[in-house]
Amino acid sequence: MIVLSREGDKATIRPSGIDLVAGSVPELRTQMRGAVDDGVREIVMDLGSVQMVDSSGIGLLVSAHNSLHRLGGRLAVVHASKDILDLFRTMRIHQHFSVSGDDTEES
Amino acid sequence: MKAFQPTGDLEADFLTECHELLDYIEADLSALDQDGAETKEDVVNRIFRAAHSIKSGAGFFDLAVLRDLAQKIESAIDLIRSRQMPPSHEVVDLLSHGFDQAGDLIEQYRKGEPADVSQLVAVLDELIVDHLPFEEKFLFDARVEVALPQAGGIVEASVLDLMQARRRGKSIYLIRYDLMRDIQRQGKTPWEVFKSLIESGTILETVLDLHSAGTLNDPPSNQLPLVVLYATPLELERVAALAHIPAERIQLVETNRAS
Repeated sequence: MIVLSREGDKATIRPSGIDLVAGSVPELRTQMRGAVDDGVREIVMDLGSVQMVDSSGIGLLVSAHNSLHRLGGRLAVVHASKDILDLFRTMRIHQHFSVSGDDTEES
Repeated sequence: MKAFQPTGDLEADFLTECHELLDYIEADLSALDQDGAETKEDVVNRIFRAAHSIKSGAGFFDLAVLRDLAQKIESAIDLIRSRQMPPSHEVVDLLSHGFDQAGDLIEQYRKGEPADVSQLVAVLDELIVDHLPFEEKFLFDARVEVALPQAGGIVEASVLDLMQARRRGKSIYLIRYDLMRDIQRQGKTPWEVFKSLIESGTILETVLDLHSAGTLNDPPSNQLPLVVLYATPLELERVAALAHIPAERIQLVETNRAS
C-alpha cells in the first residue's frame, strides 16, 4: 500500500508493507509523477516501514530528484533504516538530496 | 555533528571488531616503544593494518570522527613503515594516545555522540606533515581530479589517499558498474557488492550517473551507471572476479608495485 498525504505543494509518500524494489517501483513512479504534475514541488519519501531498497528503487529516487530539481523543488528521504542510510552514503546519494534516518538529520 | 545510533548488525560487528583490534595491538605498541627503529617489520605492519581496518570501516559507516582520527594514525604509522619517521618514544606515545581515543570514540558511538578529537587530529597532522617528503607537504589534505578517460568526466579523490595507495603498491582501478545490469538483474544488492570490494581494498570515491535515471516523465531507465575509483594490490582479473563484472569494464588507471 502507498499512503500519500498532501499539504500545499508538499507531498509525503509512505510505502507501507512494501519495499522500494522492482515490484513496487512502477506504482510509486505513477503516484510521484501524478503529484508533480499536480503542482507538488517537495516530496518527502518516508521509508519508515521500508526494509530494502534495490537498484530500481535507487533509480526511482534519482528520477524524482531530477524532476523536482528541474522545477526548483526538492526530494527528501526520511526515516531510512541504518542499512539504507549506509547504502546511500556509500553511493554518495546523500550529497544530492536530503537523506535522514529515524532520529538523525543528513543532507 | 550528528548523533549516531549503531542499530545495524554490521556496525555493531564493526565496533566490536575495532575493540578486538585495539586489544590485539596493545603488545605491538609496547614492542614498538621498546625496540624503536629496530622493531620487527611484521609488528609495525600489524599496527598499520589495525589503523587501516578501523579507518576503512569507519569510512564505510560514515563515522567521520573515528575515520579522520584513524586516517591520521594510519598515515603516521605509514611514515614509520617507510622509515621516513623514526618511532621515538614521543611518537609512539602519541600513537598510543590516538588508539586510546579511538577506543573511547567507539564507546561514544555506541551511546550516541562522539567527542571532539580535533585537537589530537591537529597534533597528528603536524607530526605527519613534519615528516612528509618535501614535495608532499603542500599536498596534504588536498584533493585531486582524476580523469575518467573512457567513462568521461572526472572524479575527485584525496591526494594523500592516492599517494598512500601508490606507496603501498596498490593499483588504482576504475570499475564501471551498471546498477541495473550488474546488480539488480544478478539478484544482488548494492550493499553486498560494496562490502566485498572494501574487504580487499579501498574505495577512494564513487560517482553515480544521476542523469541516466532521467525524470519521472521519462520511461524507467534500464541502466544506472556507477563508477567506483578503487585501490587494491590485486591484479585486474582478480578485481573482476571480486567485483563480479567482466574485466573489460574495469580500467587500470595506474599500476603500482610495492617498493
